[in-house]
Amino acid sequence: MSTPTSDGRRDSDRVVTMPPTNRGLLVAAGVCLLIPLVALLWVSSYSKATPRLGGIPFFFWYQFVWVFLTSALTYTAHRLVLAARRRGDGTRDPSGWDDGPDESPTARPGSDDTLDPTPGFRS
Amino acid sequence: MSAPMVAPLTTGTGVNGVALTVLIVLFVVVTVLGFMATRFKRGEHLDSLDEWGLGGRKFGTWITWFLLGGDLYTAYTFIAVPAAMFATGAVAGFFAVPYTIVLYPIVFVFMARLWSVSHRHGYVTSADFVQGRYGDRGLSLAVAVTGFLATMPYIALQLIGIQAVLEVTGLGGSGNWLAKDAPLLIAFVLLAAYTYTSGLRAPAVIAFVKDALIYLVIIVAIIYLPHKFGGWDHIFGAAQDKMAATNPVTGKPAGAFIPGAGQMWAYATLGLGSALALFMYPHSITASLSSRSRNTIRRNAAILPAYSFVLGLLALLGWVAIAAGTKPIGLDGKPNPQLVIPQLFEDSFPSWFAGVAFAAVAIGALVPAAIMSIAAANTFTRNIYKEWLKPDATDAQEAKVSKLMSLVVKAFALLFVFTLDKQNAINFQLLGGIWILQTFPAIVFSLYTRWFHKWALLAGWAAGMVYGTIAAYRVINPATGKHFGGSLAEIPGIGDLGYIALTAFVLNVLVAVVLTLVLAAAKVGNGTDQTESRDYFAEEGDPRVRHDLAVHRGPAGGAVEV
Repeated sequence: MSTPTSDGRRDSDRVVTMPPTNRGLLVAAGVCLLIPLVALLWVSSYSKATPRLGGIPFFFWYQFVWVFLTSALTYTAHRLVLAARRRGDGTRDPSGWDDGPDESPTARPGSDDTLDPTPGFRS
Repeated sequence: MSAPMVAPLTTGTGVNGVALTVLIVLFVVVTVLGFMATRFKRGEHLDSLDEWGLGGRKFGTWITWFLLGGDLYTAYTFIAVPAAMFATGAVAGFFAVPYTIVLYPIVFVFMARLWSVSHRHGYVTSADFVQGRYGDRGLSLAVAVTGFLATMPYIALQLIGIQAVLEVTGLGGSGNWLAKDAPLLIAFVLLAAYTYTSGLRAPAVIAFVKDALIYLVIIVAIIYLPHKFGGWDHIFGAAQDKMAATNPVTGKPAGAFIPGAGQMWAYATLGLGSALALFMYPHSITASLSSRSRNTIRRNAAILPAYSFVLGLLALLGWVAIAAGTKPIGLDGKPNPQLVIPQLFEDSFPSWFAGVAFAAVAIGALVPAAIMSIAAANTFTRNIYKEWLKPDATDAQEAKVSKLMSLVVKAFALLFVFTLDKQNAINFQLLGGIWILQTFPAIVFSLYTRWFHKWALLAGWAAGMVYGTIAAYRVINPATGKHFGGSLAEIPGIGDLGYIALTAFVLNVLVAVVLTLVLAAAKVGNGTDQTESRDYFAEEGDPRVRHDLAVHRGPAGGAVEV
């Protein structure tokens, strides 16, 4: 791995360091991400015609179902990773640990993003 | 292909005026949007690669969703996947569904790290990162050239997608050279012009229109068409009959209804290999790096599968066309499965709606073509021009070279389509997929570790490239007897057919591991690392980035170490 080359002088250094990590939650997120790969790459588990659903053979509708399952599992993994990396002191936004309160709040790139009206999605 | 020779039914009978008018009107709308896009989320320093080539790195979750969706699900996908289903069945066609599902957990894992380290160091391309990680111009050049070469035929295939639509509307297939190629030429000149002026903002804006049209068309088609052609039971029955019928040329079944014994490996390796490869393409990385934060990428990994669902429905339309008895006959009178979806729409819908569907496919080609040409241009500028030709290039010079290069790349693609056999474009695209996967170890493994030696990664890349190219060349199309007949070859040690790209990838990794052990034992130095561990977690508004920006007055400097 790389060797940190911090010169220790920049005042910014105290804000961004390696994030804290909860290994258990990261492993859980990894499992969430691994499940779809195993399910879909194990082709013989689903390459059959029955049971049909509304005339559609099992092989096809089963894979359509996995679109939704994978989406849910990936989102779960996202939340788990955020939780795993959350700072213990509770002073920072769990999504970002971006600006500390001592930083200037001006000129956040893209903070005028009116086409992204999903505050709940951002946490 | 097994499509029977029959007299053309609707194609070749002249121009479909209503459909063509709708197509042209929608095309004009997106052209205007493309030029206006230059004002979309405008930044302060317009003359930099960050602004032109990455839209200022400030696209939020939904813009990124549209941009990535518009980028990854190309017109060629919309044309080729149903065509493969129509002609040879589920193994060649429906693998696109597991491919675009397993894609996102994989992207979730590594793309946030690539975003962070690129944000921290101002990397614009994956080769920038490799250069920063190892300080090695050779490995970086290998990654850059592979990305550049693999992108060119991909752009050409977007043109083929547009051509398919134009051909079904009755344009561009016959007559003299000018009448034949003029419509495509005009479309491409407009595309080149607004990409030049607006950069990545143009496809970002047009992607909204593209996706709205695609979703509209697919939802209408998937509700209306099965009902019209006797229900899903009948459709799958017709497909099963066609796939089970014996192909007179090969003496084997025409295709696969559901992957049978001996086809499991093919289906799984096509899905996995394609998924690993897709985000190695420069255009995927460009669209990802243009997002505002590392969490934008991860949220998108959860919501992008919506497109996979649509792709699955589109694939099934290839089989709806079998039940509908669609005859995809080109204007030259020969059967061409690539025309099956446009033909199905023209046969089944009123002209105006067919026009909307054609516009969806044509505009669906413009978005990825724009992003691909920008990404290829960025790669050329950063990793060939600045690295090898003019190391002291300023931000403004970089942006200028990139803009010009985006024109050159598109001109090449156009030349490709006009002068070469279409089959060549498809062959090169097949090779491109095999090649691009060989950059995976150098990019993704390096995001996590510097255990691999840079020369071992380079040797592994070379081994994978050579093996993959030879293996693909040796696949003979049983019907035509030509080389590059497909992307499947026997997997050594397993015996079943598998995706050549993945076999080459395994060889690549083996070579890299063995040579790393040798070079480590010989104590050969592994270059200097510009990055540090915490860079891989940097978030938007990282105070160190802001600190560096304040010093450098612009986000586009390569190495922003102070």
